Amino acid sequence: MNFKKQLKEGVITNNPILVQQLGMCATMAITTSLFNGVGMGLSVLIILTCCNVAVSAVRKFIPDEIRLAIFVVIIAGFVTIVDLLLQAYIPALSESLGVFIPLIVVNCIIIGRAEAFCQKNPVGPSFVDGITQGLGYTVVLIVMCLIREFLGSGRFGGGLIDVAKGITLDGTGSGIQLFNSDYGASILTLPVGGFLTLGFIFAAMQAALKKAAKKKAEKANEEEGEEA
Amino acid sequence: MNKILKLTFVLFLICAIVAGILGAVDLITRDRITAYQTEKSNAARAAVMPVNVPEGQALYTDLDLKDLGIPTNINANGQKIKILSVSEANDGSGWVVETEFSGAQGTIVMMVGVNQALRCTGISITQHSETSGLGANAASVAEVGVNFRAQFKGVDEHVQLKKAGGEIDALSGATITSRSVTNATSAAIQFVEALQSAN
Repeated sequence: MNFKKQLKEGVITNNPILVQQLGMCATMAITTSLFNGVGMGLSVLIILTCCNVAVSAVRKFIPDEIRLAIFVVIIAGFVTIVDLLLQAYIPALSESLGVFIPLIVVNCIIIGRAEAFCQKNPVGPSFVDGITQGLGYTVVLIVMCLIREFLGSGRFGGGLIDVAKGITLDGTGSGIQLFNSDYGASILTLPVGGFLTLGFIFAAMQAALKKAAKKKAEKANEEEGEEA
Repeated sequence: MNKILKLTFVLFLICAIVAGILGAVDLITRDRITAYQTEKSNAARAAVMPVNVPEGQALYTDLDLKDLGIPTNINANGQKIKILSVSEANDGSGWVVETEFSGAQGTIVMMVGVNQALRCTGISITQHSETSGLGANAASVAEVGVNFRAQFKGVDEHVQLKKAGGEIDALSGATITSRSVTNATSAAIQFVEALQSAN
C-alpha cells in the first residue's frame, strides 16, 4: 500500500460517495454553499482520520463480538469532540451544518472504513486511508456545492468568499454573484436538487470509470496482439 | 462466564476512556460556548427590544415561566402558540417573549418585543425551516424580509393579515408563514398582557 495508490482509490476508483455510495444523506442536505461543503468535508476528514487511527490501534484488543459497539463509542466520542470544538471556535459553521455534525456518528463512511479497512490494517495505512477517503468525500461535496450554488442562485463560494473582504472563515461572506439570483433554478437549492445533482455526478463518474476500464482492456489486448 | 466478564470489562474500559476525554474537551470549550450563546440570544433580543442600561450590567433578566403561573399555550386566531421563555428588559421598557409555533413547513422560533403599552417593538425569527425563496423570506436579512418584519413595529394584539382585514402585507407565495408569524405576534402580546395583570 503506498500513498499514491490509496489517494487514487479514495478520490477516484473507490470514492466513498460516488463508488461506495456511503453517507449520502448529509451529502444531499448540506451541499448548498461552498462554506458548508468545505466545512462538512473537513470535519468528516478529521473525524474519519482520528477514528481510523484509534480503531486500528486497538484492533488487537477488541473482541470480535462487541467490535461494532466499540466502533460506535469511539466514533461518537470523536464526533462529539469535533462538535464541541466547532461550537466554541467556528460557531457559524456549527450553526449552518446544524444536526449534520452529530449525525456523522451514524455516517456509514466512518463505520464502513473501520469495518472494511482499519480492523485489518496497521495504524499507518489506516491513517492514510482516513485522509484519502476524507479527501474523496470533500472533493465530491465541493463539486456538488459549486454546481448547486451556481445553477441555483448564481453564486460562487457562498460563505467562504466575499467580494469586499476576501476569504471569510466565519461564514459571513456573501460569495461572488455571477448572475442575478432571480434567474437561478431555485429547485437546485432544495433537497430535490441534491438528488438530481448527485444522480448526474454518479452517471458521469460511472461513464468515466467504464471508459477508463475499456481503454485499459484495449491496451492489454493490443499488447497481447503484439506479442502474438 | 469468563468471556462475558472480559467483554464487559473491555467495553467499560473504552467507554470510560472516551468519557474522560469528552469531559476534558467539555471543560475547555464550555465557557466559550455559553458566552457565544448568551451573546447570540442577547443580540436577538436587542433586535426586537433595545435596552438602555449602563455598560457592564446584564441587559435582560430571564423570568421563570413556571413561577409566573400564566398559561404558556396561547390560542391566537385558532392557532396554538407556545411561549418558550420571557425576559424583562432591565431598563423597564418591556419584555422579550420567545414563541414557538408551526409555520408552513416546520417549527418556527421567534422573538417578539412588547413594550409597556402592549405594542410590538419588533420581531426576529431565530429558527425555521420554511421554503427557501418563499416562507424563508420572513427570516431573511434581504430587503423583502426586513420590510415584512418592519410592519409589525407598533401593532397591538389584534394584528391581522390584510386578507383578514388587518394591516399586514403577507409575503407573496407564503400566506401560511405570514399568518403564523402574525398569530405569534398577537399571542406574545396577549401573554404580556396576562403578565402585566398578574403582577
